[in-house]
Amino acid sequence: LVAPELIKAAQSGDRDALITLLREIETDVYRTAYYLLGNEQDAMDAAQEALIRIYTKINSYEEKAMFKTWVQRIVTNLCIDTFRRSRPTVSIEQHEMSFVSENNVEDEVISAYIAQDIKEAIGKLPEHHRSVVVLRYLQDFSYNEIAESLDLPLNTVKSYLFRARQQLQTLLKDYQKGSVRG
Amino acid sequence: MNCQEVMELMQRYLDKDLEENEQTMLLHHVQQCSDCSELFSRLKQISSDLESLPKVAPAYSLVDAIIPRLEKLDQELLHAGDTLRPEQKNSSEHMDGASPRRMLARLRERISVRWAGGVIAAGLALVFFIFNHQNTALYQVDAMLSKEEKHSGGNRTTDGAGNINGKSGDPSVGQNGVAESGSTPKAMPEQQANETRGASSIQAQSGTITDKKDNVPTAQNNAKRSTTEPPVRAEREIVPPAEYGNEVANGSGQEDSSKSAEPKDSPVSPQASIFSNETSATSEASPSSSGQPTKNALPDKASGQATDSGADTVQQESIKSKANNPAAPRGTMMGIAAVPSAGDAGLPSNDHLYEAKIEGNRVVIYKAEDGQSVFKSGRQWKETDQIQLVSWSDDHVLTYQVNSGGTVKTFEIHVKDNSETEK
Repeated sequence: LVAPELIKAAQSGDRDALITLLREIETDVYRTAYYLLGNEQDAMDAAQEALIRIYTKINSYEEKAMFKTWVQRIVTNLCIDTFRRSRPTVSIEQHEMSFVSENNVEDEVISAYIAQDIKEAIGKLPEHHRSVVVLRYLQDFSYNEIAESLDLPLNTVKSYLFRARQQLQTLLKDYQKGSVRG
Repeated sequence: MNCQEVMELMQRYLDKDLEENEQTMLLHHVQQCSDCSELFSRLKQISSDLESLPKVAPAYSLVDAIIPRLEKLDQELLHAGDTLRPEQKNSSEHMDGASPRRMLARLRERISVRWAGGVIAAGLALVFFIFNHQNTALYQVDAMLSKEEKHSGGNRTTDGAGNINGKSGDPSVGQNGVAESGSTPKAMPEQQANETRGASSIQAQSGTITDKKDNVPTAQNNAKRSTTEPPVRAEREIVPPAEYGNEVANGSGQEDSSKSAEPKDSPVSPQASIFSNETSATSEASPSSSGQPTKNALPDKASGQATDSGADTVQQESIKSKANNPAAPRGTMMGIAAVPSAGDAGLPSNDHLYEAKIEGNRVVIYKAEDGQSVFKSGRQWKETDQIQLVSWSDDHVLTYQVNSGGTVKTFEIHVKDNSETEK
């Protein structure tokens, strides 16, 4: 949790405070970007963009919202823009390939097939469902926090999340049927 | 309860959103309905799988990676701020280039103070404007007075000052607007030339107008503040403005401007040395040395860009009128403040019966007719003290002031009864 004093200092023009603040949130920003975009390179790019945006827009943050939801709103919006732009040029197959063919640190960490399957399955969810799942499971956000981040009504958040889990469950059932894991 | 309703309970169960009774109902249904039981266990599995997804972290620090971009961004924002400056200046007129530039350098480190900085800059600009404005006005008042006093015996009217004030203010707006909105590199020396001229007029004033003594310390402070290198300039405060202007032109690295200034510079030098050596303030020293810098500044301007505006001509004219004015008695008065130990300079009484002089750091009053001293002040001052002959009253009371180590004392010499009192 980012200390309110740090945010205030950053907003009052303390550049060091602002940089410190960015360091504190960079992992959270990256994690969301990684699970929304599905690969390290895009996640790095999007997360950097998000941090720059936070750097320049820090004064537009108002205390009535939670800082972490404000940050997550910025990164999810950026990622949604990113995959909306990249979708038409990348077919679903190629997109999936990028998950499979990746050979990076994260994938080494994800040693379990399950995690890999789930990650791939998340990549197949519609963008808003995906965002809700990521915020719920990777950021441990409550319904309300997700609603605030995505600017969605609470009931919509619930229905997206429920449908997302339902879809994942269906997707993984198919996976499990055709995989070693059955 | 149907399976559809239970489905929602299952989902909310995963998010720990169930009341105790709802949970009981859910578990009760699941035990009885095999379809729901299977789905429930799969959902629980999914949820726990999602929870155990690796909490990935970036391979390297993203903040470190973006710092160069952030700095570039700061620079861009700063330039954006720069382009805003002429606007601010137009509205606040006599903005001095030096301080805001230094301030902007500091702002490079703290972007968010930018707006605060802008406010401060505007404030400073206002302060500078007020001082410069006043000074230009006073300068011209002085020029006017030289004439006026010669003919009418020295009646200073505030009306005159007010009018000149208005006149000199307006052209200087245009001048600055043009000079500073040009963001070409040449604008910098140009600006400095303006600055310098501002400073010179302040100095000329501090040297000449003895009865505006209250303005002198402030004006000098102002001159100091307006310089890029306060210590260097401070040293040079007694150096005549002509040299001053060239100094800046040289310093700014503009070859042509310094070259063009050089030849014109030489005739000034002897006078300059007279002035700075404090040997005596001749009647010509003040007007000519203060007249020259404007002329020297002009080539810079002409070669720089077409910013030669009304302000210059107005100022120049007033300076010229002063320079052309023989004004011998005025001239002698002019040197006094700047040259405390000078012997020749004096202040004649209104009816020219007496003349007050500073000799050997004390005030002496002479009869104009035969040059006989009628009063010698008992107060002997130090070399470092600044004595200013302020004014004569019609009944032959001389007022003078002494600035001794920062404290200013006012004295009156009553020639009639040969007495001196401290006010």
